[in-house]
Amino acid sequence: MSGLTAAILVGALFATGAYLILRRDPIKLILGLTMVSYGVNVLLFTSSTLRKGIPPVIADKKTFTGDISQFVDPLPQALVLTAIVISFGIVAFLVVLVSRRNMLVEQYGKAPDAPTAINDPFGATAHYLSGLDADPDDYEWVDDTFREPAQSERS
Amino acid sequence: MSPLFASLLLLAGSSLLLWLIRPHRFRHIGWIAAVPPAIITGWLLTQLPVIAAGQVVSATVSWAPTLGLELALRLDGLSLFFGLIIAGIGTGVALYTGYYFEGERRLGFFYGQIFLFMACMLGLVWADNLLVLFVFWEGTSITSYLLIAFKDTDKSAQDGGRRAFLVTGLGGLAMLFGMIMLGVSAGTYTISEMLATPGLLDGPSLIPGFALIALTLIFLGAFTKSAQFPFHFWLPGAMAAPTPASAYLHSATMVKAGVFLLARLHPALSDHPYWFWALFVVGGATMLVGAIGAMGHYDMKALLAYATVSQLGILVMILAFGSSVAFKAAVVGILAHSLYKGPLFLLAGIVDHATGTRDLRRFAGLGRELPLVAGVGVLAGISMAGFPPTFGFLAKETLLDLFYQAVEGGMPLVGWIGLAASALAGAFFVAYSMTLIWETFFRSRASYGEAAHVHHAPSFSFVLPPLVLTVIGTIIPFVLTQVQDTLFAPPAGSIAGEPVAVKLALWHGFNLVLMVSLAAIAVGLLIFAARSAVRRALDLWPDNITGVKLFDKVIYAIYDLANWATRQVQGGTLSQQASIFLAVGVVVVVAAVTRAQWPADFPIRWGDLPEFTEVVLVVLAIVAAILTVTSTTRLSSIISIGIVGIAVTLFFVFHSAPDLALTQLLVDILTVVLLVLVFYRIPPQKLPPIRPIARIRNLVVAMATGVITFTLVLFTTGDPFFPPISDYFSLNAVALGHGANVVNVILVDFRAIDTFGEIAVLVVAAVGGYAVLRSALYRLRPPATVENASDTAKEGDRA
Amino acid sequence: MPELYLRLLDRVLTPILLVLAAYLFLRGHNEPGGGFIAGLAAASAIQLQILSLGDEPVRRRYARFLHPMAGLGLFIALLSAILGILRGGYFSSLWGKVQLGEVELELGTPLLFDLGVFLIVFSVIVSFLLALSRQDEGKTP
Repeated sequence: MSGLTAAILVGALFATGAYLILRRDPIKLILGLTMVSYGVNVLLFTSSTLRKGIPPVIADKKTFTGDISQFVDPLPQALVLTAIVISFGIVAFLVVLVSRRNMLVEQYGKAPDAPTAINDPFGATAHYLSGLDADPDDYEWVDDTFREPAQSERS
Repeated sequence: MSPLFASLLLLAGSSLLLWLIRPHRFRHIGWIAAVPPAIITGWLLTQLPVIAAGQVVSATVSWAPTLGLELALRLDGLSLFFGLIIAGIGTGVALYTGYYFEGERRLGFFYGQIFLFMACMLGLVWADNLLVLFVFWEGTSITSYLLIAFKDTDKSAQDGGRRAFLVTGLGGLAMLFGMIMLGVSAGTYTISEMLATPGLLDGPSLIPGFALIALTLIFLGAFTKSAQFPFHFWLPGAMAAPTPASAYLHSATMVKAGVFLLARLHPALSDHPYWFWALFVVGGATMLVGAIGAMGHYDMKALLAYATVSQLGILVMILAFGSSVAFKAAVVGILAHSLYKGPLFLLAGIVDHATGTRDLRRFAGLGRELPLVAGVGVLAGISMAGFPPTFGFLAKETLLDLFYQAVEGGMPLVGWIGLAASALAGAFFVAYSMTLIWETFFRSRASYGEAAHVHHAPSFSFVLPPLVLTVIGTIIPFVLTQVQDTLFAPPAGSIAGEPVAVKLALWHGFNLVLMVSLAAIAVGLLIFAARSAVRRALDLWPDNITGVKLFDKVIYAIYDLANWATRQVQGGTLSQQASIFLAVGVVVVVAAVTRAQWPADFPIRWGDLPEFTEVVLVVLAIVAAILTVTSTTRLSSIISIGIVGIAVTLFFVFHSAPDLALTQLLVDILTVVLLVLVFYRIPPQKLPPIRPIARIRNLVVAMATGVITFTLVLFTTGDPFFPPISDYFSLNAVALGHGANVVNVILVDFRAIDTFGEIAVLVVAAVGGYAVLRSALYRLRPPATVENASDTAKEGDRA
Repeated sequence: MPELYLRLLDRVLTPILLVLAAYLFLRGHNEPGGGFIAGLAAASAIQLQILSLGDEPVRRRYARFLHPMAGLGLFIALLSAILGILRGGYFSSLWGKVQLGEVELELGTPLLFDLGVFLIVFSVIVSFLLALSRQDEGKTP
């Protein structure tokens, strides 16, 4: 019966996550991806049979007789454990992207010749520009180096 | 190490070395570069009597044993014959190249590529495994592309290279499928075993049209590589390559790879009637198209390219037959063509080098200024024309003899058609050979523009390679009785699949064949006399019905389709793109679920109710998830998602997964703090209210995603479809892994390679994040400018 | 001054969390814990420091170690895999016993691998935390 409850949980996590991703706000995007990654982790976990049992930890190595009938499936646990950490890494990377993009958009908005429509997939009036990467002249370089404050300036 | 592998390694090593030493600094580097192919030629010459005695040299290195793939090389009559042509002409080309480029900076790059090509080509003809042959085959396609597109600022060179690569590459792909079909049918990919398999074309089991499909796929590879009609158009375009590459790849060696493949597979496949008709019709058409087309060109190399197309057609047509005359004609034709066409290309390069042009209309009396070049040109030219007593004449005689035998041997229609067609082609051979030699060297005044003069006389070493090749070609017809058993009989035997006695002679007495041959020469002389009329007639052919134009139309249509599809799928806002993405996922899962075997106790065993704790947990998670969606402030949504994480943690606890619970809890804490840290530095955006239609779309897509994953989990938590392997891990954790926590033992011992990949992903994510933060700042130009710029750029591409 | 409490918390909690991480790491092979979990626990200790002290002091203290640490982690993990060649093959494990007074310890290359995992998880997460908590970001690029 655990299958049904797990299925409901996964379905709810995916549905809310997908809905958040579909919103325009980049912050909702991050929340949505976090939600979906939780869903994926539970989904992977349900690939075991979800029967009741004890954790797959052998009580005493010396007296272990090979009785594993009460153990739950350890393999999905191992898979999900790494998945949790990796999805956190990916979410963190995405947060970096969004924060960087925010910096660029701020700069862009302050430019004197700022147009009303920009090629920003988050934007309300985003549109597709064909052949955008074709020519390096399409970009205007603002600053070539990300300046790290010198040791003396920090204190 | 076997000399076969040593040869390939020698060439690959020389390729690298010649590139690294920057050879343009040395004036006579050609002599050094010619040494490696000369060594291989010498070794192959010593093998001639061995192979003629009926032995084979073979060598094998295990490559991917689980795939049944081994690097098997085998030297028999046919591969020795081709190897001699490749290494021998390669020696000449290597010497010639040094003088052709004469101090140009990119000489080393060219040498590197052409030696790599030489290694691939030798590997191709020596391979004894169809898949190895394919790998080398593609190697020649790639090096050929690089060599055609060598002039990196010349648009026609880039286009020509791309077309050649697409045509031969697609053909090669088709061929790979054909090879796999043959390999499955034979149960082996070793060519020598495959050829001995009876019923190779019957297929494994009752696949309708197996022979037809397999043969068509193989033919596609061979015909595209050997520039057969209607794929012949890439070869004239490939003439944008530097002349040494044209002479070597696009006349003497690479374009013969298709012919080689057909010859190699001839013993096993030629019994099928489809083999005969495909080769006869396609080869014949190619022969005529090439021979007639050659007359319509003023560029020396274009004329020679069409002549090559025509000769390749002849070779393919010959291989349609299975008589001993056919094998003889194929072998003689291959060698004769290499020995006159290679030198003529090299001479075209010398003339170009000396005068700065290859336009036939602009030469006047060049023979007086370049007597040696003219002499070599005449010798090679009369061989191409097929005047007696040259090697070319011998080749034409055996070809005509083949059709004459067909007439006598019960195929009168085929024989007469073949005889007439090859006589017509022979007449055009005479006409364009005469045109080429006469207009280049002997005509007294230029017909168009200013006459070109020699401003840069070629050195003797520059002329030496074509000279030597032509002399060899001139001598062979006079020493036939001495060489026919060692040079011609073994390859003919390989094509036949059994030993063949080869008797060759220049003089057969007055018979029908000689009559036809002489008549062709007479007609050819007439065409030569009336060549301006013929050229005007050929000019009438409409410009837009050429292979190149049609091919380009197809390619641009594909580009447009790809652009259109990308714009549809990835063109809008992020939410549109994500909806499409999720919707496709939904469709895939629905398709899978409706086709799946439903478990016996599906959908749900209503008997046992879920435990109260579990229900509470799930309700908590769902309520928190919904709050995350609906909350209006950022802080509350962050708190809600934290609660979702806690609920998931408790879910793991409930299901006896303490490691997971710990991990999830820590990640949850880190996530919440991370979100708090970041979100307060991103100012809220003032977005216009969401449109109702978009809201409905979002709801539908989200609900569909939820329902689909719900169904998916119901499936996976049913009865397992196969016994889990986990029991092995649990039982052996102590004995093999010395640990009591099975999960950790799996992570760091049993499945450590997986874990290693995963921690590498983490490091990559960190490096990526660092790079994003440190990347230079830029902003887009205003879109109007961008669009205009890209429009004009696009038009420029098309023009 | 709510930061005062945070500072006090930091003084007390950070060492406790780090000791907890070490404990989780050491017992990982036999009881719940291990490199991943210990790495996360240690990273949350650093996160607490960032919250209480601000990001600059923490950056001064740790930033220069992070990338070398990630590299070292990959190296150690790979080393443990390569050591396996001595017995059997790539990624097979080696075990030995060490007698420390009364206690008998089992040591093996999988523990070394776990150490690599710990170093990587810790350094990657802390570097993300530091990158995202940069106070001046967005003002002076």
